[in-house]
Amino acid sequence: MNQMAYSADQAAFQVQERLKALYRLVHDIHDERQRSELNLNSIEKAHEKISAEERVSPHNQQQLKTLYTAAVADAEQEEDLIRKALAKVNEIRAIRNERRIQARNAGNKETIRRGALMKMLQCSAQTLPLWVGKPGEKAPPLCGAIPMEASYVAKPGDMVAALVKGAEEEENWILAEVVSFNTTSGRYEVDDIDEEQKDRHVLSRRRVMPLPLMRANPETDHLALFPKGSVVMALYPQTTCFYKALVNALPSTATEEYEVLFDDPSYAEGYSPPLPVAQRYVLAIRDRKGHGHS
Amino acid sequence: MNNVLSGLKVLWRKISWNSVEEDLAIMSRTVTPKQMPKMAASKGKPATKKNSGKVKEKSKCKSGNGSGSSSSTLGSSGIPSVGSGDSPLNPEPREEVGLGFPLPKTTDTSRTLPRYYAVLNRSEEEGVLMDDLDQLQMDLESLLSKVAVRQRLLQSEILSINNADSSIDRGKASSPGKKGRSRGSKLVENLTKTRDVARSSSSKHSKKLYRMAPLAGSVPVVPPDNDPKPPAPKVLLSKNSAPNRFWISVEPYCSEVNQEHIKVLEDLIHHNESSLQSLLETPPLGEHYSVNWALQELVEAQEAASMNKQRRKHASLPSSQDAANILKRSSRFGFEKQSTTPGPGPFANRLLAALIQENPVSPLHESTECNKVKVKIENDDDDASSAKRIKLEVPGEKPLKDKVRATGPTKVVGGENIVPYKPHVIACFERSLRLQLEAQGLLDTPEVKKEEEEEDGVLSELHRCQEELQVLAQENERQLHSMIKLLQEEMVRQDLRKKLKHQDSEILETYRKIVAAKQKRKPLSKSERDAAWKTVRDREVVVKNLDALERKW
Repeated sequence: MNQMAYSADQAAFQVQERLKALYRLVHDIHDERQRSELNLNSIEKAHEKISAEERVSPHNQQQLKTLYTAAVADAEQEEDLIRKALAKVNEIRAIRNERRIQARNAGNKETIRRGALMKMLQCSAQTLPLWVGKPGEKAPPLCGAIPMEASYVAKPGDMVAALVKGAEEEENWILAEVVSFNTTSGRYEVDDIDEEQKDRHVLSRRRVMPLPLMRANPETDHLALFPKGSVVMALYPQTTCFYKALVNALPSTATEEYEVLFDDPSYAEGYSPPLPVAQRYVLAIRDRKGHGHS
Repeated sequence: MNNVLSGLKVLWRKISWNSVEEDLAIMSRTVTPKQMPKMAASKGKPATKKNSGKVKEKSKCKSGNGSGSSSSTLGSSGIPSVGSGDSPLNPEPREEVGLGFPLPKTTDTSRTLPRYYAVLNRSEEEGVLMDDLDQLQMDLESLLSKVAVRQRLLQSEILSINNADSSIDRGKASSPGKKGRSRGSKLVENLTKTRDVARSSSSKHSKKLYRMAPLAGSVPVVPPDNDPKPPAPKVLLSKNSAPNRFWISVEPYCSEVNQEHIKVLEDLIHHNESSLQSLLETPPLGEHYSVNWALQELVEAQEAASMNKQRRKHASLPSSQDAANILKRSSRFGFEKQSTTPGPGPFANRLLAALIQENPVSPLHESTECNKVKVKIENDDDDASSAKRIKLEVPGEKPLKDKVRATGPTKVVGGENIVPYKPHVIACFERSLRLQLEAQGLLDTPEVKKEEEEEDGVLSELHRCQEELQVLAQENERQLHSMIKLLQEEMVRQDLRKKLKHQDSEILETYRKIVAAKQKRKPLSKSERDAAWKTVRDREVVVKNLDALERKW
């Protein structure tokens, strides 16, 4: 990602550059799609023919194979362009995030209303980059349910779940943002994402869990999702706290969310009704302490 | 129901004919009007199930005879059942194509990818705005996902075609017809399945789009409808590859044998023989482990003792625990069976007894030599018992030997007056003393015999294992030889089969010639006739040979 520090003007310029590139890429993608459509149409025709003939002759097969191969090449081209476009989008986000962190470090912390905060959280979960693996490629760490590498350290500005002590000596996993990581003490400094709690916490690595950096695409990388029935930590909707939950349904597309049942003794079955939680806010459970939902 | 209908009506206005027709065709085959709300509620899953059931039926038909009989299944798919209540939705029903990929239609872009489409239609100056970013990302991601899925699907199709090719080649000899049919129907089935599953997931997808729309804010509400280019599931991939993997794993067992296989087996036999030889050798007897260990411990003990002396002030005896362990171990060796008494060992006692009680016990045996020793001991006596200890601790000195020799047969008197020694020191001393005595020929070696017995146990165990191994190796060799024999027989049969194949093709060739000649109404020459008969007879001979072999087998 982009670690350079930008001035406001520079940042705006950089963003503009990328937006322009994005515009061109969108057009390129469109051209490519039209091109591949030709081939796909002929595949469709071939299929129609085959189904009309009720059998697949060797000749048809060869023809199909050629068409398929061409279509695969088209798809690769198209995929390449789309990846480039998405990379631009990510770069723009990185630049903006960099600016935001700079602003925060400079002391002008933006204050957000709670409603806006919730919307922002929802939005950032939706725009988390999507991982679409190439055939045979494995999802990287911190993509969907894939755990982080043991040595991984969350970067400043990254969102994490942090186990902090509440007012009544109870511990809660809260949604927080990394301010810094002290390599000598091995401790994170994190900010509660909830503006109303103006606390800054210093926590050991054990008490900090980075959120996924990418969404897993259920259509291509469903293995990077939590399986149904697994016990997870999930952000309770309209709150900034993580609680223990059971995965009830997986997202079936990249834009869908998990459906989870929260551990909730106030319900007769011990679970809340199914609630949607974005991929970004569903984490592997680490510690049995601290998620008793009251 | 009403919801569905109104949704469909919106659809009707918005979508191109093509996709409506397809949707209807799918629905018409799968649901009656009663079922429709249910289907909508359960995200189209039942539809998928039913549809796939249909597919099976269809492909069965196809594999049956490959003629037109199955077209009725396609055609009579009950399209009228949709008709009740939604007549405007019922355009001329076109027969749905059973096969087909979820194809992206650029014409639908405006509906499925609104922001992407908006950007496309903007001028260069307007370009992409920051506000577009979120939705554009989503559009691009859904495009990417679709492209990725399409790619996987195509690749799996290519794979299945390749596979069908190779399996045809393999199966030609046995049952080409069957293979060919199954291949064809498999492909057809795959294609249909793809479409079905794609459809079910598309309905889910569009549902989600609908639900999400308010969240995204500025995005116009998209009516739930069937996505014309739904993503196909990757489940398909694994389904296709399973038979491939199976055939690959089976391949080596079905392939023809050749000389190389025999060579491998022979190598195996040679290897076994040579390795067996090395295993049957009894390695030369080394030093007994107890001797080795005792020597090591002796060295350790000496080191510890010297260290102890050097820094006596250091209260910390570094290896007090270790020492205890050593003692425990050494007691296990049977060096000091008397270790319950903290005195010196039997040899030391005997020696001491001989030295101290010399006068009353052996006055008769006294000689000049003996006197010398006595004097020396009397001198030593002055230095109190510590001196004696030192002497005992330094075995192998000449005077000691002399003493031993001098004492000869002595009475054993208990060492009750002896200062307690460390057991390992005693053990070591005992050992060295005994060795010396043995070397002098003054002592039999009963204990050594005992050790040998123990070693014999190991040896006999070794022999036993070797015998077992030998039996096993013989059996292995026998099996390997029989396998080689089988292989050789199989190769003969294989040759015959090859010959048979060759003959078959020759006969076919001549048959074709004859038919061609008949068509031209040209009589066959005698030589041609003879050649034809010859090939037939040759073939009979080959078949007979092969039969004979098979029967023997």
